Amino acid sequence: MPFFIQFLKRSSVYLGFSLVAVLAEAEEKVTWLYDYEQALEEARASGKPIFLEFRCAP
Amino acid sequence: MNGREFDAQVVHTPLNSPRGELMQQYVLVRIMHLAGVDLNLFDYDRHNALYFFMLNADEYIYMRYGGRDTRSATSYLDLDSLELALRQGLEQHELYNEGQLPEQKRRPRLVPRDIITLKNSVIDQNRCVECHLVVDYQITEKETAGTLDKRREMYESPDLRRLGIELDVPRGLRVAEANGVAADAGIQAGDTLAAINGQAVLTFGDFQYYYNQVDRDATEIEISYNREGKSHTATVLLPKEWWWTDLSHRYWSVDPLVFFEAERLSPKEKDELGLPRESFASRVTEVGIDALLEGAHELEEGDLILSVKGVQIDPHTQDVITHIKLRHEAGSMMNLQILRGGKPMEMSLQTKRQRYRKRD
Repeated sequence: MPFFIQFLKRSSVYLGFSLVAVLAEAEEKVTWLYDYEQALEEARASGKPIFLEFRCAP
Repeated sequence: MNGREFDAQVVHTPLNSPRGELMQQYVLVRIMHLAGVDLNLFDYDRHNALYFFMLNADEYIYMRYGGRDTRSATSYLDLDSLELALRQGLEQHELYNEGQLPEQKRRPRLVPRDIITLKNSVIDQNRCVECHLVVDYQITEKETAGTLDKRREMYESPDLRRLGIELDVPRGLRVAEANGVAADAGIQAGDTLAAINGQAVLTFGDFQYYYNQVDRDATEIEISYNREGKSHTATVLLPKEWWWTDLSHRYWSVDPLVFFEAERLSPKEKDELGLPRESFASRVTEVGIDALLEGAHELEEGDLILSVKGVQIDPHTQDVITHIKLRHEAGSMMNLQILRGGKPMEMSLQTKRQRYRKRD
C-alpha cells in the first residue's frame, strides 16, 4: 500500500508538471481568430492592424 | 519548405520569437474558405493556396504577402521576408494613422454568392467555396458572355523572371540578379524594387499583383527602385509574349487541353520551309499517352504543325499551343495542317475541357 500511495504521489506530481508544461507550451504560440468580422472589431477596439491569412485547403 | 510547412511555421509562431513579437502587434485572422469574403477587396491570384494581407480596421490594405510561380507554390514564401513585411506593415499602420497614405479606391463588394454558376453548383450544394473554384467559375462565366481576355485572365500573374529579374527572396524585393530587359534598362543586383508604373510596392506579392494589372498589349513598364538610398526609375521594354506563363499548376476549365508539347521553329527553319517568319509553326516534341486515351489526335513526335484551321499567324504568339489556348474554346475540334517527314498531311485535333470540379 505505501508503494501504491508513493506511486500515486509521484504520478500526480509528474502529471502536474506535464500539464503545466503543456499549458506553457500552448501559451507560447500566437493566437489566431477564425472570423473576419471579429478581427475587424478587435482591430477597431485595439487600434492594431490586421494580419490576415487565406488558407485554401481543398 | 512546402506550403503546408510554411503555413504551420507561421500559424504556430512562438510568442517569444522576433516574428512572434511582431505578430502580437497585429490582430491575427485565418480564413479557410471564401464564403462571405469580399472578393473585390481581397483580390489575389486564387491559385495560391496560401496568401496574406496586412490591412486595418477601415479595410485599407497596406500590402499583400505571397505569390507563386510555375517552379513552386513557395518560390516567394520565406520566413525572413515575412518578418520584413510584418515590420513594414507596422510602419504603414503608423503612416496611415498620421494621415500620410494615399486614398484607396474601393470597388463594389462582390461575394462568392454573386457568381451565379458558383452559387448554383457549389454554395447551394453546401460544398466548400475553394479559392480556385471561385476564379474558375468567374472566368467561365466571362467565356460564356464572350468577355474573357485569356491573355490577362487565363495567363494570370506573369513571371517576373521573364524580365530578367531574380529576387533575393529572404530580403523581399531586393534584386539578386538582373539580366535581359531589366539589365538593359539599368536595374542591377542589389537594387530594391519600389514601384511599378508609379504604384508603390513593398513585397513580391504587391509587385506580382500590380504587374498582373499591366495591359497585355503594353510594350514597356516603369519600374522604380532604390539604390544606395537614392530612388531611380527605369523604363523596361517588355519582351514579346511577356505575359505568357506555364499553366500546368493551374486548373482552368477554359484552357483547351491539347495533349502534346511543341517547340517553335527557328527563323531559319521557317525560311527553309517558305513559312512567314511571324508564323506560329512548331515542332511536336512530346505526345502523351492521354492523346491516345482521349482520342485527341494522331500527332507524332517530329511532326511540324504549320497551321490551325487554316491560320498560320497570330499577332499574340508564335507558339502553336499558345495560339490554340488563346483562340479556341476548350473542347473544340480543329484541323491541323502538318508536315510529317516532309510530306504534307491534314489531321484533326479534338481538345478537351478540364474536368476537375467534383460536381457540375
